[in-house]
Amino acid sequence: MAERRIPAPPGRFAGLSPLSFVLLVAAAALVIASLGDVSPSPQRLAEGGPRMARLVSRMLPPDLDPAFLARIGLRIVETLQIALIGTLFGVILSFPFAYASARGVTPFGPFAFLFKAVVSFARTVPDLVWALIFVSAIGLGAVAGTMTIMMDTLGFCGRFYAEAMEDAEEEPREALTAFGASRFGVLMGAVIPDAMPSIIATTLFALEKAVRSSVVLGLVGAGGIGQELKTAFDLFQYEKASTIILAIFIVVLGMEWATDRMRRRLR
Amino acid sequence: MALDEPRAVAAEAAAACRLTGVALSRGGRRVLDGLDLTVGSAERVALIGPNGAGKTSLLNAVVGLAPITAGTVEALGRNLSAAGARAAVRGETGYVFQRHALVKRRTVLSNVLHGLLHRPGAWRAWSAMLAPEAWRAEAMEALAEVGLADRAADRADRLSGGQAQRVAIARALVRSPRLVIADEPTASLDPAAGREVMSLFSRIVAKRGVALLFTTHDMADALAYADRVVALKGGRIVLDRRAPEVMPGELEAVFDG
Repeated sequence: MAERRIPAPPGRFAGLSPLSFVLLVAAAALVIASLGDVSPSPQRLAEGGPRMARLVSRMLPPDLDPAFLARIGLRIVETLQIALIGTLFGVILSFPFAYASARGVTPFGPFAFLFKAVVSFARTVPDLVWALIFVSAIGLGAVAGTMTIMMDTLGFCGRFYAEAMEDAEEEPREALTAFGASRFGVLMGAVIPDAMPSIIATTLFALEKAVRSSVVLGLVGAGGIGQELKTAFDLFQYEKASTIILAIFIVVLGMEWATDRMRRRLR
Repeated sequence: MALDEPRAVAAEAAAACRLTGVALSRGGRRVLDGLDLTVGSAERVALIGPNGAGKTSLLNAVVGLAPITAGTVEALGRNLSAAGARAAVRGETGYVFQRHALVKRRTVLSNVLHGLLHRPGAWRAWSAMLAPEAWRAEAMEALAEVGLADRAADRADRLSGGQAQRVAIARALVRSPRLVIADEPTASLDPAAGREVMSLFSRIVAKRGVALLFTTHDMADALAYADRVVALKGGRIVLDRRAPEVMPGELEAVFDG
């Protein structure tokens, strides 16, 4: 017993492999090089500051003309409609894709990745690019916006619905299978109920996200309040622009507040 | 059952299941090794044995959930190797699992209705909202049998462990099974709740006059709630005796050496 020797503690950097070290140094080099290339120089910041102040002063006071406010109100409603209907269609589309691509749930076995790939594609193409595509394909206006939100929602919900289904409890699934339930019966009876809180939370996030992106879709002509914002900036009507920005702020904040409350009520 | 199957009918009258020389391997290991076992149509049989003795594999083999490598399995009068026999047998079998395996976020009634998911038109058994009135009534009957009819509208995750397992039993019974299979139905419960569940379970099975095949680690349960005790070890039957005739210490000996 007296001879027991305690080994020395492992070296401080024992966990860091040479490869990780090289990667770390490379990342640091990349950050430093990029800083020089694209970050604002002190000189430009100094010049930009007063200009920014001048722009803000031209934005004030916001234009509160009742006729203008009414028009903005209508545009806000249209924006919310785009977000709501786009999310609805996106959610409807997401379910079959999630079912087809969820590991352990999919009836397509090794071909599930095809559906996963479609969802990934919908997600990786940015919303403004989708909007450009749909504006070219079906013309200016709110319908292009709705289609854009739909693709955006498919990319988002399709992925997280699938993950929720994959995480659904194993035991009830196996039990229902043993009872002779069909694949679809297992899905509806055991998988979806267990995944439901996660699905609802995802849907609320999607709605919130849809409101935020539907606001900017108008910049490329896909309907909604963004169109007014672009016009205001193009015509140097900065008081109008500030009103619109405030309106957007209120809508997005309101949406976040509402979805937050709903999420908190989930059990 | 069709009348042009005289042999099957004869076998059915005699036994809920009949295993002859059944062998089963998993991962290169022999889990069941030439096993013969016949369970009567209204017999309650407890399977005991150390971990890895092949108890669960035996249960799976009876309903064709595990592919056997030798021998024949006949269940409810059908040879399981025949086409379509497995689905038919499973349709008349009730299962109770080690942990209740209920869908937690659904009501108790919905969970019982899940026992009917093998029926034609089963899309209506997903939940109590969709199910036909007759099916709902059947499920209520099964719930009443386990004494939980008043909890039908509660969510399954609000039940205690013992209550959940009773709902799982109701879910097995609503199928009007002729054979009930239970894999350590009390293993997840405390001893008191386990005894309560097991005594209820055994009583209902006896009243319905159907066969019960259950595994357990609890010798007292095996002796108290089964008509017959079968001990497995290394994939073979080392003891097969009517419960009242088991000698003290005999079961414990199965686990030694």
